Amino acid sequence: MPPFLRPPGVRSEKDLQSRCISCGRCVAVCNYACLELTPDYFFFGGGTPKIFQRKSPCFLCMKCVAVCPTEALRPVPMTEAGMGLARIDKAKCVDYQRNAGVMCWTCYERCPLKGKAIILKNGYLPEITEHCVGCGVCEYVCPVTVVQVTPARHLPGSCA
Amino acid sequence: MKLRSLPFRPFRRAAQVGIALLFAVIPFLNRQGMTFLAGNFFYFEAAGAPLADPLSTLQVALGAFSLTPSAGLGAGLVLLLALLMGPVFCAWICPYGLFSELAHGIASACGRGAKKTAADASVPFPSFAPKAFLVCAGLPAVLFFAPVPLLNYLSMPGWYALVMQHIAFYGEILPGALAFISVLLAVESLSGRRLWCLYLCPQSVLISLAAAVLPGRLRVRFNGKSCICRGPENPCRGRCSLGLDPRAVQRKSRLYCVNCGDCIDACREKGGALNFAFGKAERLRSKSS
Repeated sequence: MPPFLRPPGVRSEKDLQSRCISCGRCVAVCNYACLELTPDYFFFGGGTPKIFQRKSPCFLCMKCVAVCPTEALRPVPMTEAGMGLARIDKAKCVDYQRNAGVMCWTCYERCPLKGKAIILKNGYLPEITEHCVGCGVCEYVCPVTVVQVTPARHLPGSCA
Repeated sequence: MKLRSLPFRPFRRAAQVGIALLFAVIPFLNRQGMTFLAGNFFYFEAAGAPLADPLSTLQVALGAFSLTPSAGLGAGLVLLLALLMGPVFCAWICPYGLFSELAHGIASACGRGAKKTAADASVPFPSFAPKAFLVCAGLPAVLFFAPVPLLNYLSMPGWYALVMQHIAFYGEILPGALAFISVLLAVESLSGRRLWCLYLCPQSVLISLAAAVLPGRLRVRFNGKSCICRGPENPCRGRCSLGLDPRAVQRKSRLYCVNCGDCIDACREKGGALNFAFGKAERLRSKSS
Protein backbone atom coordinates (compact mmCIF):
# COMPACT_ATOMS: atom_id res chain seq x y z
CA MET A 1 0.00 0.00 0.00
CA PRO A 2 1.39 3.47 -0.88
CA PRO A 3 2.15 5.87 1.98
CA PHE A 4 -0.95 7.33 3.52
CA LEU A 5 -2.06 9.82 6.15
CA ARG A 6 -5.01 9.75 8.46
CA PRO A 7 -7.61 12.55 8.32
CA PRO A 8 -7.47 15.56 10.64
CA GLY A 9 -8.45 15.18 14.27
CA VAL A 10 -7.35 11.58 14.80
CA ARG A 11 -6.14 11.02 18.37
CA SER A 12 -4.17 7.86 17.63
CA GLU A 13 -4.30 4.88 15.30
CA LYS A 14 -5.77 2.68 18.02
CA ASP A 15 -8.43 5.23 18.91
CA LEU A 16 -9.41 5.63 15.25
CA GLN A 17 -9.84 1.89 14.87
CA SER A 18 -11.92 1.74 18.05
CA ARG A 19 -14.25 4.51 17.03
CA CYS A 20 -14.53 4.34 13.25
CA ILE A 21 -17.63 2.47 12.08
CA SER A 22 -16.96 3.00 8.35
CA CYS A 23 -20.11 5.08 7.93
CA GLY A 24 -18.41 7.02 5.13
CA ARG A 25 -19.75 10.41 6.17
CA CYS A 26 -16.27 11.95 6.11
CA VAL A 27 -15.75 10.62 2.59
CA ALA A 28 -19.12 11.93 1.46
CA VAL A 29 -18.44 15.52 2.56
CA CYS A 30 -14.84 15.73 1.35
CA ASN A 31 -14.81 18.37 -1.38
CA TYR A 32 -11.46 17.25 -2.73
CA ALA A 33 -12.23 13.52 -2.77
CA CYS A 34 -8.99 12.92 -0.92
CA LEU A 35 -10.47 10.61 1.74
CA GLU A 36 -10.74 6.95 0.89
CA LEU A 37 -12.24 3.99 2.65
CA THR A 38 -9.84 1.36 1.35
CA PRO A 39 -11.41 -2.03 0.66
CA ASP A 40 -9.29 -3.89 3.23
CA TYR A 41 -12.25 -4.53 5.50
CA PHE A 42 -11.25 -8.01 6.54
CA PHE A 43 -8.19 -6.71 8.39
CA PHE A 44 -8.21 -4.88 11.70
CA GLY A 45 -8.61 -1.20 11.03
CA GLY A 46 -9.70 -1.87 7.46
CA GLY A 47 -12.31 0.39 5.95
CA THR A 48 -11.12 3.35 7.97
CA PRO A 49 -10.48 6.66 6.14
CA LYS A 50 -7.08 7.21 4.59
CA ILE A 51 -5.50 10.00 2.58
CA PHE A 52 -3.04 9.02 -0.14
CA GLN A 53 -1.28 12.34 -0.24
CA ARG A 54 0.58 11.66 -3.47
CA LYS A 55 -2.74 11.06 -5.18
CA SER A 56 -4.82 13.77 -3.51
CA PRO A 57 -3.74 15.59 -0.34
CA CYS A 58 -5.87 17.13 2.39
CA PHE A 59 -6.55 20.85 1.94
CA LEU A 60 -7.69 21.22 5.56
CA CYS A 61 -11.26 22.27 4.77
CA MET A 62 -12.13 20.45 8.03
CA LYS A 63 -15.57 19.34 6.84
CA CYS A 64 -14.87 15.71 7.73
CA VAL A 65 -14.24 16.38 11.41
CA ALA A 66 -17.56 18.19 11.70
CA VAL A 67 -19.64 15.20 10.57
CA CYS A 68 -17.93 12.25 12.25
CA PRO A 69 -20.65 10.74 14.48
CA THR A 70 -18.32 8.88 16.82
CA GLU A 71 -15.64 11.57 17.10
CA ALA A 72 -13.06 9.27 15.60
CA LEU A 73 -12.14 12.57 13.97
CA ARG A 74 -12.19 15.23 16.68
CA PRO A 75 -13.66 18.61 15.77
CA VAL A 76 -10.37 20.51 15.86
CA PRO A 77 -9.29 23.69 14.02
CA MET A 78 -7.00 23.27 11.02
CA THR A 79 -3.97 24.36 13.02
CA GLU A 80 -4.43 21.30 15.25
CA ALA A 81 -5.14 18.73 12.54
CA GLY A 82 -2.23 16.60 13.76
CA MET A 83 -1.85 14.45 10.67
CA GLY A 84 1.94 14.33 10.57
CA LEU A 85 5.02 16.40 9.91
CA ALA A 86 6.56 17.33 6.56
CA ARG A 87 10.27 17.31 5.89
CA ILE A 88 12.18 18.89 3.01
CA ASP A 89 15.25 17.10 1.70
CA LYS A 90 17.37 20.20 1.51
CA ALA A 91 20.15 18.44 -0.34
CA LYS A 92 17.81 17.96 -3.28
CA CYS A 93 15.42 20.95 -3.01
CA VAL A 94 16.10 23.33 -5.91
CA ASP A 95 15.67 26.38 -3.67
CA TYR A 96 18.68 25.23 -1.69
CA GLN A 97 20.88 24.66 -4.77
CA ARG A 98 23.09 27.71 -4.95
CA ASN A 99 23.83 27.38 -8.60
CA ALA A 100 20.39 26.28 -9.75
CA GLY A 101 19.13 29.81 -10.21
CA VAL A 102 15.61 28.73 -9.33
CA MET A 103 13.14 30.14 -6.82
CA CYS A 104 10.52 27.40 -6.76
CA TRP A 105 8.62 28.06 -3.52
CA THR A 106 5.74 25.83 -4.68
CA CYS A 107 5.40 24.17 -1.27
CA TYR A 108 5.34 27.55 0.43
CA GLU A 109 2.82 29.02 -1.98
CA ARG A 110 0.39 26.09 -1.79
CA CYS A 111 0.60 25.35 1.94
CA PRO A 112 -2.85 25.78 3.57
CA LEU A 113 -0.98 27.25 6.56
CA LYS A 114 1.25 29.44 4.42
CA GLY A 115 3.61 31.60 6.42
CA LYS A 116 3.03 29.53 9.52
CA ALA A 117 3.73 25.88 8.73
CA ILE A 118 6.19 26.78 5.98
CA ILE A 119 8.17 29.97 6.17
CA LEU A 120 10.81 31.47 3.88
CA LYS A 121 14.02 31.51 5.83
CA ASN A 122 16.19 34.49 4.92
CA GLY A 123 13.38 35.50 2.59
CA TYR A 124 13.87 32.73 0.04
CA LEU A 125 14.54 29.31 1.59
CA PRO A 126 11.39 27.26 2.43
CA GLU A 127 11.51 25.74 5.87
CA ILE A 128 9.00 23.59 7.74
CA THR A 129 8.15 24.83 11.21
CA GLU A 130 6.65 23.13 14.25
CA HIS A 131 3.24 24.41 13.12
CA CYS A 132 3.14 21.93 10.24
CA VAL A 133 0.14 19.59 10.60
CA GLY A 134 1.17 17.15 7.85
CA CYS A 135 -1.68 17.70 5.39
CA GLY A 136 0.47 16.47 2.51
CA VAL A 137 -0.11 19.38 0.10
CA CYS A 138 3.62 20.19 -0.05
CA GLU A 139 4.46 16.56 -0.82
CA TYR A 140 1.82 16.55 -3.56
CA VAL A 141 2.89 19.79 -5.25
CA CYS A 142 6.66 19.50 -5.00
CA PRO A 143 7.89 19.32 -8.63
CA VAL A 144 11.04 17.44 -7.68
CA THR A 145 9.40 15.21 -5.02
CA VAL A 146 11.80 16.10 -2.25
CA VAL A 147 9.13 16.77 0.39
CA GLN A 148 7.87 13.86 2.45
CA VAL A 149 5.30 13.81 5.23
CA THR A 150 5.83 11.47 8.14
CA PRO A 151 2.38 10.36 9.36
CA ALA A 152 1.57 11.17 12.97
CA ARG A 153 1.43 7.47 13.82
CA HIS A 154 5.12 7.14 12.88
CA LEU A 155 6.38 10.20 14.71
CA PRO A 156 8.44 9.75 17.87
CA GLY A 157 6.19 9.89 20.91
CA SER A 158 3.14 8.78 18.97
CA CYS A 159 0.83 6.57 20.99
CA ALA A 160 -0.30 4.63 17.91
CA MET B 1 -61.72 -1.17 -0.96
CA LYS B 2 -61.29 -0.58 2.73
CA LEU B 3 -57.77 0.25 3.86
CA ARG B 4 -57.87 -2.57 6.41
CA SER B 5 -58.49 -5.14 3.71
CA LEU B 6 -55.37 -4.14 1.75
CA PRO B 7 -52.55 -6.68 1.98
CA PHE B 8 -49.39 -5.62 3.76
CA ARG B 9 -46.98 -7.36 1.44
CA PRO B 10 -46.99 -4.89 -1.50
CA PHE B 11 -46.40 -2.00 0.89
CA ARG B 12 -43.61 -3.89 2.63
CA ARG B 13 -41.95 -4.83 -0.64
CA ALA B 14 -42.18 -1.21 -1.77
CA ALA B 15 -40.53 -0.11 1.47
CA GLN B 16 -37.77 -2.74 1.21
CA VAL B 17 -37.02 -2.06 -2.45
CA GLY B 18 -37.26 1.70 -1.93
CA ILE B 19 -34.76 1.60 0.94
CA ALA B 20 -32.39 -0.71 -0.94
CA LEU B 21 -32.49 1.70 -3.89
CA LEU B 22 -32.15 4.71 -1.61
CA PHE B 23 -28.91 3.36 -0.12
CA ALA B 24 -27.65 2.68 -3.64
CA VAL B 25 -28.42 6.25 -4.75
CA ILE B 26 -27.33 8.19 -1.65
CA PRO B 27 -23.57 7.80 -2.26
CA PHE B 28 -24.00 9.13 -5.81
CA LEU B 29 -25.94 12.12 -4.44
CA ASN B 30 -23.19 12.66 -1.89
CA ARG B 31 -20.61 12.70 -4.68
CA GLN B 32 -22.65 15.48 -6.34
CA GLY B 33 -22.41 17.51 -3.15
CA MET B 34 -25.89 16.71 -1.84
CA THR B 35 -25.35 15.53 1.72
CA PHE B 36 -28.77 16.05 3.32
CA LEU B 37 -28.93 12.22 3.33
CA ALA B 38 -25.63 10.56 4.18
CA GLY B 39 -24.21 7.45 5.77
CA ASN B 40 -24.98 3.77 5.71
CA PHE B 41 -26.56 1.17 7.98
CA PHE B 42 -23.97 1.76 10.71
CA TYR B 43 -24.86 5.44 10.96
CA PHE B 44 -27.21 7.50 8.86
CA GLU B 45 -28.35 11.10 8.93
CA ALA B 46 -31.42 12.47 7.22
CA ALA B 47 -31.43 16.28 7.31
CA GLY B 48 -29.52 16.20 10.58
CA ALA B 49 -31.67 13.53 12.25
CA PRO B 50 -29.42 10.63 13.25
CA LEU B 51 -30.12 6.90 13.07
CA ALA B 52 -27.47 4.44 14.23
CA ASP B 53 -26.99 0.71 14.49
CA PRO B 54 -27.34 0.08 18.25
CA LEU B 55 -24.78 -2.73 18.22
CA SER B 56 -22.23 -0.63 16.38
CA THR B 57 -22.75 2.21 18.86
CA LEU B 58 -22.41 -0.18 21.80
CA GLN B 59 -19.14 -1.53 20.41
CA VAL B 60 -17.69 1.98 20.08
CA ALA B 61 -18.87 2.75 23.61
CA LEU B 62 -17.07 -0.34 24.91
CA GLY B 63 -13.97 -0.10 22.71
CA ALA B 64 -13.30 3.63 23.08
CA PHE B 65 -15.28 4.33 26.28
CA SER B 66 -17.08 7.03 24.41
CA LEU B 67 -20.66 7.73 23.44
CA THR B 68 -21.28 10.82 21.35
CA PRO B 69 -24.71 12.50 21.49
CA SER B 70 -25.43 11.88 17.79
CA ALA B 71 -24.56 8.17 17.89
CA GLY B 72 -26.37 7.70 21.21
CA LEU B 73 -29.48 9.49 19.97
CA GLY B 74 -29.39 7.58 16.68
CA ALA B 75 -29.14 4.21 18.40
CA GLY B 76 -31.82 5.26 20.88
CA LEU B 77 -34.24 6.13 18.09
CA VAL B 78 -33.72 2.75 16.42
CA LEU B 79 -34.30 0.96 19.73
CA LEU B 80 -37.35 3.11 20.40
CA LEU B 81 -38.79 2.05 17.04
CA ALA B 82 -38.25 -1.59 18.02
CA LEU B 83 -39.69 -0.95 21.47
CA LEU B 84 -42.96 0.38 20.05
CA MET B 85 -43.30 -1.40 16.70
CA GLY B 86 -41.31 -4.60 17.20
CA PRO B 87 -38.35 -5.64 15.04
CA VAL B 88 -39.82 -3.99 11.93
CA PHE B 89 -36.32 -3.07 10.80
CA CYS B 90 -35.71 -6.69 9.81
CA ALA B 91 -38.91 -7.06 7.78
CA TRP B 92 -39.51 -3.62 6.37
CA ILE B 93 -36.09 -1.95 6.08
CA CYS B 94 -33.13 -4.38 5.96
CA PRO B 95 -31.94 -4.95 2.35
CA TYR B 96 -30.46 -8.32 3.27
CA GLY B 97 -33.90 -9.30 4.56
CA LEU B 98 -35.27 -8.52 1.10
CA PHE B 99 -32.63 -10.65 -0.64
CA SER B 100 -33.07 -13.42 1.90
CA GLU B 101 -36.84 -13.44 1.34
CA LEU B 102 -36.31 -13.59 -2.41
CA ALA B 103 -33.91 -16.52 -1.97
CA HIS B 104 -36.48 -18.16 0.26
CA GLY B 105 -39.15 -17.55 -2.37
CA ILE B 106 -36.98 -19.32 -4.95
CA ALA B 107 -36.44 -22.19 -2.53
CA SER B 108 -40.17 -22.47 -1.88
CA ALA B 109 -40.90 -22.43 -5.60
CA CYS B 110 -38.44 -25.32 -5.97
CA GLY B 111 -40.18 -27.28 -3.26
CA ARG B 112 -37.80 -26.52 -0.43
CA GLY B 113 -38.32 -24.46 2.68
CA ALA B 114 -41.32 -23.20 4.55
CA LYS B 115 -44.03 -24.49 2.24
CA LYS B 116 -42.78 -28.02 2.56
CA THR B 117 -42.00 -27.78 6.21
CA ALA B 118 -44.92 -25.67 7.41
CA ALA B 119 -46.83 -28.52 8.94
CA ASP B 120 -43.76 -30.57 9.71
CA ALA B 121 -43.31 -30.67 13.45
CA SER B 122 -39.81 -32.10 13.07
CA VAL B 123 -38.44 -28.81 11.69
CA PRO B 124 -36.29 -27.39 14.47
CA PHE B 125 -37.64 -24.27 16.07
CA PRO B 126 -35.40 -21.23 15.54
CA SER B 127 -32.89 -20.74 18.26
CA PHE B 128 -31.84 -17.38 19.62
CA ALA B 129 -28.76 -18.97 21.18
CA PRO B 130 -26.23 -18.75 18.28
CA LYS B 131 -26.72 -15.04 17.64
CA ALA B 132 -26.88 -14.30 21.35
CA PHE B 133 -23.60 -16.20 21.72
CA LEU B 134 -22.03 -14.14 18.92
CA VAL B 135 -22.97 -10.92 20.68
CA CYS B 136 -21.97 -12.23 24.12
CA ALA B 137 -18.57 -13.29 22.72
CA GLY B 138 -18.10 -10.28 20.46
CA LEU B 139 -18.70 -7.53 23.01
CA PRO B 140 -16.11 -8.77 25.56
CA ALA B 141 -13.68 -9.27 22.65
CA VAL B 142 -14.15 -5.61 21.74
CA LEU B 143 -13.69 -4.64 25.39
CA PHE B 144 -10.63 -6.75 26.19
CA PHE B 145 -9.04 -8.16 23.04
CA ALA B 146 -9.48 -6.06 19.90
CA PRO B 147 -11.03 -2.63 20.45
CA VAL B 148 -12.52 -2.39 16.96
CA PRO B 149 -16.22 -2.81 16.09
CA LEU B 150 -15.73 -6.51 15.29
CA LEU B 151 -19.40 -7.39 14.99
CA ASN B 152 -19.80 -4.85 12.18
CA TYR B 153 -18.08 -7.44 10.00
CA LEU B 154 -21.23 -9.53 10.41
CA SER B 155 -23.67 -6.80 9.40
CA MET B 156 -25.28 -7.80 6.13
CA PRO B 157 -27.10 -4.48 5.58
CA GLY B 158 -23.81 -2.80 6.45
CA TRP B 159 -21.99 -4.73 3.73
CA TYR B 160 -24.73 -3.94 1.23
CA ALA B 161 -24.42 -0.19 1.85
CA LEU B 162 -20.61 -0.33 1.85
CA VAL B 163 -20.63 -2.05 -1.54
CA MET B 164 -22.88 0.71 -2.87
CA GLN B 165 -20.64 3.40 -1.36
CA HIS B 166 -17.55 1.90 -2.97
CA ILE B 167 -19.24 1.72 -6.35
CA ALA B 168 -20.28 5.38 -6.12
CA PHE B 169 -17.11 6.76 -4.55
CA TYR B 170 -14.41 4.77 -6.32
CA GLY B 171 -16.11 2.87 -9.13
CA GLU B 172 -15.05 -0.42 -7.62
CA ILE B 173 -16.93 -3.27 -6.01
CA LEU B 174 -15.98 -5.12 -2.86
CA PRO B 175 -15.50 -8.64 -4.20
CA GLY B 176 -15.09 -10.19 -0.74
CA ALA B 177 -18.32 -8.67 0.54
CA LEU B 178 -20.25 -9.63 -2.58
CA ALA B 179 -18.95 -13.20 -2.35
CA PHE B 180 -19.90 -13.34 1.35
CA ILE B 181 -23.48 -12.21 0.64
CA SER B 182 -23.82 -14.45 -2.43
CA VAL B 183 -22.63 -17.57 -0.63
CA LEU B 184 -25.01 -16.91 2.24
CA LEU B 185 -27.95 -16.44 -0.10
CA ALA B 186 -27.01 -19.60 -2.01
CA VAL B 187 -26.87 -21.60 1.22
CA GLU B 188 -30.21 -20.17 2.32
CA SER B 189 -31.89 -20.95 -0.98
CA LEU B 190 -30.51 -24.51 -0.90
CA SER B 191 -31.53 -25.11 2.69
CA GLY B 192 -34.89 -23.39 2.33
CA ARG B 193 -34.34 -21.68 5.67
CA ARG B 194 -33.48 -18.07 6.37
CA LEU B 195 -30.48 -19.16 8.39
CA TRP B 196 -28.69 -15.84 8.80
CA CYS B 197 -31.71 -13.93 10.08
CA LEU B 198 -32.87 -16.75 12.34
CA TYR B 199 -29.60 -17.92 13.83
CA LEU B 200 -26.66 -15.62 13.20
CA CYS B 201 -27.51 -11.96 12.60
CA PRO B 202 -25.98 -10.17 15.63
CA GLN B 203 -27.49 -6.82 14.62
CA SER B 204 -30.98 -8.20 15.29
CA VAL B 205 -30.20 -9.21 18.87
CA LEU B 206 -30.47 -5.79 20.53
CA ILE B 207 -33.46 -4.93 18.34
CA SER B 208 -35.24 -8.16 19.30
CA LEU B 209 -34.44 -7.64 22.96
CA ALA B 210 -35.75 -4.06 22.83
CA ALA B 211 -38.90 -5.36 21.15
CA ALA B 212 -39.38 -7.85 23.97
CA VAL B 213 -39.38 -5.19 26.67
CA LEU B 214 -42.74 -3.52 26.15
CA PRO B 215 -45.77 -5.84 26.38
CA GLY B 216 -47.99 -3.26 24.75
CA ARG B 217 -46.01 -2.86 21.53
CA LEU B 218 -47.31 -3.64 18.05
CA ARG B 219 -47.51 -7.38 17.45
CA VAL B 220 -49.40 -10.02 15.54
CA ARG B 221 -52.52 -10.88 17.52
CA PHE B 222 -54.28 -14.21 17.15
CA ASN B 223 -58.00 -14.52 17.77
CA GLY B 224 -58.63 -18.24 18.12
CA LYS B 225 -62.39 -17.82 17.84
CA SER B 226 -62.06 -16.60 14.25
CA CYS B 227 -59.64 -19.32 13.11
CA ILE B 228 -61.37 -21.71 10.71
CA CYS B 229 -58.35 -23.84 9.81
CA ARG B 230 -58.40 -27.45 10.91
CA GLY B 231 -55.76 -30.13 11.32
CA PRO B 232 -52.60 -29.74 9.26
CA GLU B 233 -54.02 -26.78 7.33
CA ASN B 234 -52.21 -23.65 8.44
CA PRO B 235 -51.66 -21.17 5.60
CA CYS B 236 -50.36 -18.57 8.03
CA ARG B 237 -47.39 -20.73 9.00
CA GLY B 238 -46.87 -21.76 5.41
CA ARG B 239 -46.55 -18.10 4.42
CA CYS B 240 -44.12 -17.16 7.21
CA SER B 241 -40.67 -17.05 5.61
CA LEU B 242 -39.08 -17.57 9.02
CA GLY B 243 -41.07 -20.78 9.54
CA LEU B 244 -42.83 -19.52 12.67
CA ASP B 245 -46.32 -20.48 13.79
CA PRO B 246 -48.12 -17.12 13.90
CA ARG B 247 -50.84 -18.60 16.08
CA ALA B 248 -48.27 -18.98 18.83
CA VAL B 249 -46.44 -15.77 18.12
CA GLN B 250 -47.17 -14.38 21.54
CA ARG B 251 -45.35 -17.30 23.12
CA LYS B 252 -41.97 -18.69 22.11
CA SER B 253 -42.02 -17.10 18.64
CA ARG B 254 -42.07 -13.60 20.06
CA LEU B 255 -38.31 -13.12 19.79
CA TYR B 256 -38.31 -14.08 16.11
CA CYS B 257 -41.48 -12.54 14.67
CA VAL B 258 -40.48 -9.41 12.75
CA ASN B 259 -44.00 -8.08 12.13
CA CYS B 260 -43.81 -8.60 8.38
CA GLY B 261 -47.57 -9.19 8.13
CA ASP B 262 -47.36 -12.08 5.64
CA CYS B 263 -49.28 -14.38 7.97
CA ILE B 264 -52.01 -11.75 8.33
CA ASP B 265 -52.28 -11.55 4.54
CA ALA B 266 -52.59 -15.35 4.35
CA CYS B 267 -55.15 -15.47 7.14
CA ARG B 268 -57.24 -12.68 5.66
CA GLU B 269 -58.62 -15.18 3.15
CA LYS B 270 -59.25 -17.71 5.95
CA GLY B 271 -61.34 -16.01 8.56
CA GLY B 272 -59.04 -13.16 9.56
CA ALA B 273 -57.96 -14.56 12.89
CA LEU B 274 -54.63 -12.74 12.72
CA ASN B 275 -54.10 -9.01 12.79
CA PHE B 276 -51.69 -6.36 14.00
CA ALA B 277 -52.59 -4.79 17.31
CA PHE B 278 -50.99 -2.83 20.10
CA GLY B 279 -51.34 -4.24 23.54
CA LYS B 280 -50.53 -7.23 25.62
CA ALA B 281 -50.66 -10.56 23.82
CA GLU B 282 -53.82 -12.54 24.42
CA ARG B 283 -53.83 -16.10 25.56
CA LEU B 284 -53.93 -18.57 22.71
CA ARG B 285 -57.43 -19.89 22.26
CA SER B 286 -57.43 -21.88 19.09
CA LYS B 287 -60.12 -24.34 18.13
CA SER B 288 -57.59 -26.20 16.05
CA SER B 289 -54.92 -26.73 18.70
